[in-house]
Amino acid sequence: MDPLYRELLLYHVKHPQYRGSLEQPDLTEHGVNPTCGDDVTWMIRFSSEDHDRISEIAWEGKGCVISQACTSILAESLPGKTRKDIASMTTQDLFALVGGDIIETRHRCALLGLVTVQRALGNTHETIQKGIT
Amino acid sequence: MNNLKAQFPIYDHHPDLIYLDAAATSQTPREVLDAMQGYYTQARANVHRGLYALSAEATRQYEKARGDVGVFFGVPADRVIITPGTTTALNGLARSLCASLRPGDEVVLTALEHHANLLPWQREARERGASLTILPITNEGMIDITVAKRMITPKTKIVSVSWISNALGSVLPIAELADIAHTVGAIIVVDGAQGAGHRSINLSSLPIDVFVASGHKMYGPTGVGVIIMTPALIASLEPWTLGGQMIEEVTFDDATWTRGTARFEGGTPPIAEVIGLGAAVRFLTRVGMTSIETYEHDVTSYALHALQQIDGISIYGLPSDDPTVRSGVISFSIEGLHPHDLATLLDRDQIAVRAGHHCAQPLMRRLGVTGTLRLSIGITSTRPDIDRLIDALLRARSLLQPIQNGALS
Repeated sequence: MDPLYRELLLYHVKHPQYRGSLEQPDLTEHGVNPTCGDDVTWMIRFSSEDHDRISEIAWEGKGCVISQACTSILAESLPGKTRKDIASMTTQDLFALVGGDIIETRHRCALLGLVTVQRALGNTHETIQKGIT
Repeated sequence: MNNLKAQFPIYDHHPDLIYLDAAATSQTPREVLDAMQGYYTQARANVHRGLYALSAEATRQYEKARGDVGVFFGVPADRVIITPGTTTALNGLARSLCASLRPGDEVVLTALEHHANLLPWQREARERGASLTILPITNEGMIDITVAKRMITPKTKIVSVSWISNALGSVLPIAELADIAHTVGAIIVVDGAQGAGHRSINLSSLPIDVFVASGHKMYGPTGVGVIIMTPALIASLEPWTLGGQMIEEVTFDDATWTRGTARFEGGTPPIAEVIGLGAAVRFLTRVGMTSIETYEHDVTSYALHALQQIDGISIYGLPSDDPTVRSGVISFSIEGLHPHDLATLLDRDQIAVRAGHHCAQPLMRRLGVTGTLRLSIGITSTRPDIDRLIDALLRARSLLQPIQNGALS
C-alpha cells in the first residue's frame, strides 16, 4: 500500500463523509489554499442545549486527494466536539486521524480543512501553519 | 549538442534527478559558480567606489559581465541596467512609466501575463484613473494580432507583454506588437523572462523600448536580472530606487540624478551575481544559442508527442510543436487527477515539475482550470528524461485509479 496515497485517503475521496450542505447553518466559513486554488466551505450548527458543541456539520470543496480526504476524515470527528476541543487540535492530532504523517510539501493541503474550521470557530491552534486564506 | 548534465554540479549530488522545471528556475553550470566563487575569494570589494586595487578588480569583472550580457542581447553595455530580477524591474518600470498617465489613458497587457507583469500595472493604472486593456487569447493560448490592432488605440500609452508565456509556452509576436504600439505612440515593454537563455534575440534589430529578463532562468544565479532600455528612456525616465551610486548632487533640499544606467542602480548591486550572469551568457554563447534552440525544440516535440499518447490528457496551449509559436513550456492535466497529487508522485521518482496556477490565476480561470502540471525544458533536459516522466505519469495514474474506477466502493 502506498504510504501517502493509502487506502483510507483514497476511500474518503471516493466516499466523502459529511459532504453536502446544511440549511440555515449557524456558521459558514470558506478557506482557500492560494498556491493551488483548492478550497473548502464548512457549514456548522451548534447544539440547542450547548451552544459551544457542534451538532451538525457539512462541507463542500474541491481539490487534491490530500485536501479532500483529510477534510472528510476530519468532518467525521467533529460532531459532538466543542469549540475548545477543536481549537486545541494540532497538526499531529490531524495526522493521527488520517492514519499517519503527511509529507511536508503537502501540509497545506492536509491542513486546509482544519485551519478553516478553526478559523470559523474563532481560534486557531498556534502550531498550525498559516497560509490558508 | 552533447548531454550537458556533466557541467551542472546539481547532478553530481542528485544523479537520478529529472529536472523539468527550467521555467521556474534553471540549474547552474559549474563555470557560473566558479566565477562567483572567484569574486568572493579573490576580488571581493564594492564596485565603483574604492580607490584601491581590489575594488578596481571587482569593478572590472562587474563591468565586463555587463558588457557580455549586452553582447548576448545584441546591445552595447550602456543600455544594460542591472536589477534584482524581472519582478523588481517590472514594479519599478510600472511606477516610473505610469507617472505621466492621465485619466482615460490605457495600459495594454495580455491575458497570458504572469502576475509580475499584471499587478504593478493594475495598481498604477488604478491610482491614476487610467484603464487596463487585456488582449484576449484564443482557445489555444495565442494573441490574435488583428484584435491587438483594434484594441491598441491612440489612448494607449504603454503595452507590456510577455515574450513567451510562462504557463502555456506561447511565443508572442513581440515585433508586431511593438510596431502596433509605436503606431499609436505607445511604449512597448517585453517581459523576456521565459525567452532569455532559450531563444536568441537581438534587441538592436527589434523595435522594443524596454526588455527585462531574470538571470536565474538563464543559467545564472538568483537575485539578478537586467533591463535593456532605449537610450532615450535611460536619459529621461525617473529612477525608482534612490540612494547610493545613482546621484549627481545631493543637498538636504534637493537632488539630481546621474546619467546612464547607474541612474537606475541605486545601492550596492548584486556584484557576485552579475559576475555569475556574465559567466552564464558566455556559457550559453559557447554552447551556441542556435544549437540550444534546435536541441530544445527536439526534446519539446518528443515530449509533446509522448504526452499526447496518454489517455485522458489535456495539453493546454497550441497543439503545434512549431518553435516559432511554442516554447519548451508544456502545461497539461490528466482527467480526474489533481496536478498536486501527480506532482507529488512524480517527485517520488525524482522528477521535478511544477503544479498549480503558475502565477497566472486570471489565465487559469480563462482556461477553466484551477491549475495544471507544467514541465519546462532546458538545455539539460533529454529524451530519456521524457521517457521517465511518461513512465512515472502512467504509474501515478494507476496508483490513483481507485478514485476513478470504483475499486473502493
